[in-house]
Amino acid sequence: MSAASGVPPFMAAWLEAQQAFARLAGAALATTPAASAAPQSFVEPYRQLFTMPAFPAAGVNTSGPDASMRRYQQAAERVGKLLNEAAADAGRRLGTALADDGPDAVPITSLRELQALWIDCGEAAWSAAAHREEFAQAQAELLAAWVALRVAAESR
Amino acid sequence: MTRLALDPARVAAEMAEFTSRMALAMQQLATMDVQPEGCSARAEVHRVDKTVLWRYARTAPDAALPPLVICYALVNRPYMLDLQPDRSLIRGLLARGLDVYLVDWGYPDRDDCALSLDDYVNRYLGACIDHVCREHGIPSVNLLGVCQGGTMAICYAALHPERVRNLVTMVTPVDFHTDDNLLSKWAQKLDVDGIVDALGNVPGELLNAAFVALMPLRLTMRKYAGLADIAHDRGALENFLRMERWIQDSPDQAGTAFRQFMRDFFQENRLVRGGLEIGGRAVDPRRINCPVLNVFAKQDHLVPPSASRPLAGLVSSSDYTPFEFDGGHIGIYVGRNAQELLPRTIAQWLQSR
Repeated sequence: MSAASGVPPFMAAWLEAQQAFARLAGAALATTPAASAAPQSFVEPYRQLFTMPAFPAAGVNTSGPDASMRRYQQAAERVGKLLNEAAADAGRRLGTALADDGPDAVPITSLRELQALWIDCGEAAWSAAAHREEFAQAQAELLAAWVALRVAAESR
Repeated sequence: MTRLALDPARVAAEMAEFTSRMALAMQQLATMDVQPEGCSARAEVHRVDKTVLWRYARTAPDAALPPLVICYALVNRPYMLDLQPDRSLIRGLLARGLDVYLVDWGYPDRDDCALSLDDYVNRYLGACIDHVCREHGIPSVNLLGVCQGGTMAICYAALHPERVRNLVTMVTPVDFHTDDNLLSKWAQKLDVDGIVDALGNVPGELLNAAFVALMPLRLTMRKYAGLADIAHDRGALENFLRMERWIQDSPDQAGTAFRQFMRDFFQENRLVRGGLEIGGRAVDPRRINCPVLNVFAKQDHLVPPSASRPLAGLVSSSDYTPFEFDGGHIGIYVGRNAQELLPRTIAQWLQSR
């Protein structure tokens, strides 16, 4: 479901987020009590949530002229690569946090606690990525490419 | 994964409870109809194009202070300041006997894409303040600028210092190039000319997406999952819905003004570095010598305190008061602890001048 299907934006956002966390919960349960879960299990939900707000809100006409379409695709790939890296970093942070066996490490016994940790690790990874100049440049280029694509499509 | 100690039966019960609560919350929200356009009695007293000046009805004996004109941001709608009876900065100010006016920029449309900062600061805000001065037979008002509206209020006060008796800024960006300002880091790389040339006005949805992207998990996942905790509390759900409607109620930005604001403030930081001009006139914050109260929020992710504090070094006023609020950019309007503290702080500060 998406905002485009008539669901109010906040509900659509929540539904997408909740689906992402449900996948994470499934991964966590699948690895309990075995301690063999790869942080990779946590990466995809992060990537999806990072992607949601990072791309321009309005739809892209994928049948746009070749040059502007290529530019957009390249820009999207570049941003996508950075989002993947951020998601991988978030997964690593979560994996590290879950593996913490120090004296201050509190056992996680509920999904609520797991979700809180998941969000904190995700935000930390996101912040580290988003503050980088490379990220700002990639995001700006994506927006510029989207604008150019739209202009080119309208002028046809 | 030594910390994971999930018991499948407990997790299943937790999921079932969560799902049930979320279903209830969604069901309740679907039947609710909140009216978020402000809750206090007010009347339109002046209008220039789409800009409306509202005057709020008094609710307490007159504090005998010059009227307070509130200049809100161009981004989002000003009813955040009067969201509901128990979450209203404006009500708090009225309760302390202040005569409150609010500048409402309306919703720019295609006819407005050529509106510039000169229009907003000098023509619209200027006309509103002139109206208040004329109606009250006074030379100057107390001016409260909020967020971007605070930046505009600073510009107005620098250009027309004779019209501002006291200046209050709230969560106002001044230095746009501080290291912790993520929004500014992103904005500095934008091809603003390309965006405005192509789009004319800038869609509010685009700005909303950028704001959510600042903290994508907290502002989606945490917030919406929190609905489960208030599923049985109709009042809390109404508060939630009111807030969501405000967030989504995001006016488009007039292209020319957006271009100027992005370039002059976000990208070139001219308020701090110098060289800012509006309407062909230099904006020199050193011309501000009236008393200044600068309110900023300690946990503000949109306008970090580091962006607001430098106002102290820009104005020439010898009467400068910083006030740090323990909360975030939204909490400063609707947070429980803000409801008493903020209006009292502002009113007392004004009364003592």
